[in-house]
Amino acid sequence: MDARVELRKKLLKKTKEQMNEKFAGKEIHIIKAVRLLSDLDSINNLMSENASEWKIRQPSGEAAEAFTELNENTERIATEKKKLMEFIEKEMAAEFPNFSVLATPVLGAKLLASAGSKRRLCLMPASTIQVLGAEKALFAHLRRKANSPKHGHLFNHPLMQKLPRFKRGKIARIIAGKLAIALKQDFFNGENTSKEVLAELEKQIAKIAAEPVTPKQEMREKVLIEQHTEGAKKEPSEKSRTWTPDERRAYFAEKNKSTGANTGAGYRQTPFKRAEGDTWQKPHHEGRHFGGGFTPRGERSERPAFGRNENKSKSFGKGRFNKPKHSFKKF
Amino acid sequence: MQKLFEGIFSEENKVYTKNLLPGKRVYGERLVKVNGTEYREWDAFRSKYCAALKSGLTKSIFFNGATVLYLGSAEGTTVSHVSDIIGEEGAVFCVDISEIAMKKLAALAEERQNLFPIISDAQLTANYKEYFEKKADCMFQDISQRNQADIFVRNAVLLKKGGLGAIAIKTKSISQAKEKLEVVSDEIKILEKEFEILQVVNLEPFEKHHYLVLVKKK
Repeated sequence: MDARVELRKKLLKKTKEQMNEKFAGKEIHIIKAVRLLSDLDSINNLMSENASEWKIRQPSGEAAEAFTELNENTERIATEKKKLMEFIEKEMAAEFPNFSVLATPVLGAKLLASAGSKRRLCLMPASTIQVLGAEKALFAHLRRKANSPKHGHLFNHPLMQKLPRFKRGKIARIIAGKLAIALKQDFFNGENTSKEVLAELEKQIAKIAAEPVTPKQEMREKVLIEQHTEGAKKEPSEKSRTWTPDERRAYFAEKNKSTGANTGAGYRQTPFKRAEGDTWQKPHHEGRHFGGGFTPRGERSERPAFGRNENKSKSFGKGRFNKPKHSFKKF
Repeated sequence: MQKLFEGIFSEENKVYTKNLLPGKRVYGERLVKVNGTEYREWDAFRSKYCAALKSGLTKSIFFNGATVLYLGSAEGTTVSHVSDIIGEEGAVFCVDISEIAMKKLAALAEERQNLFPIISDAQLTANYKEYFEKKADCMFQDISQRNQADIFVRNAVLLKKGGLGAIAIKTKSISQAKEKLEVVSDEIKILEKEFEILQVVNLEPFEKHHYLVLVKKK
């Protein structure tokens, strides 16, 4: 019985220690503050938008009272934001003397919030710090074939402002590298070398910013601007426009005249010839259709077979039309 | 008060357990006094085991004086009733990964002498293996993870031979696309490695997309 009581005491003590360790970290308050700050930003925007619109209508009487209250509240939120900023600056300077100078306190706090904790952020590689805050774009890149993100929160770094698109990736890489080093210095109680590093970084970036634009970069920028501006849409090409069935038939009839193949009035052609006697067909979900279309890798095997399989027991549990009849009667 | 199972009572379609600490509420439940003994009402909408009891569970895994391994204890709603059932002689080892949820449970464990809180990932059985001098009599799991059944099978080393276990399976955290019965039958196949399946209970209308599987260790 004594051993039991002792074990219980030991476990209670251990859980308390673990909890204290989790909740004692100062960074949790920085994370909470920076999250509140971004919420306050959007609240403030909404309120000031309402206030300025209401002002035009010249409120009077009871409306004027409500209007002044709105104004007061907007001001109060602005002062709260200011106080929060001061708090974040103070705490970040204490926790991350190197990092907070290089990254600026609020941006640093945002990176910290994305990472989750001081330990996790400090042990991150530079490449991860570079794309923190761009998780959606990053996973779109890893899953589909989207372009990889150049920067996440780092886009808001003061040294990244006013740079052309094609130089941002390079500079984001440089800044992320310096931040990663500064974080390691802070985590292992290193020296404070932030001022020298910042001066060096500014010099390096100014040098890159002054580099002349290459013709290739210019072309690429032009194309990107064209893609992103409205009214720049091109006329659809001959092949990509919508065809009427008659037109399609005529087109393939013309084409088949020269090759002599009969492809059935212009429907989808098979791009490879099968050997004689080869009756095997790729199942539908493994890409027998050649019209493109993306099938996520994980879902392929779960795609319904559309009742094609003659031997139904083979695809038991997979097809939409031959679902197994479940019952738990045997239990 | 009718006796439903050992330590579990019912009256007018409601489930009760004897209050271990008379006069104290845990999560704002109703307290009822019958013939001098106090009972705590068990909310089926907040506890999956109670939902299973109401949906026709044929056997209860907890008994007086039992050593229980409870995986996914969260804030201790169900745990408090388990603690009522097993009495002062028993022991509940409550494993949960979340420190925030454990804060409430630790406060509960201060009061109730049969609770043993452990902060750990339930997948890492080695973390808390040392605390089991003799193996547990029964095991309960309520963890919404993709590998729910796998976690349960891993922890089976800590359960004695012939010991009863119950696992609450949340089908939506395994697959969004598949039919729920399909998911449960897949999970049961995993459980059959270590366990004999006794009963499968659908927890509707108390919990959607949830099943409770009653098992016995081979």
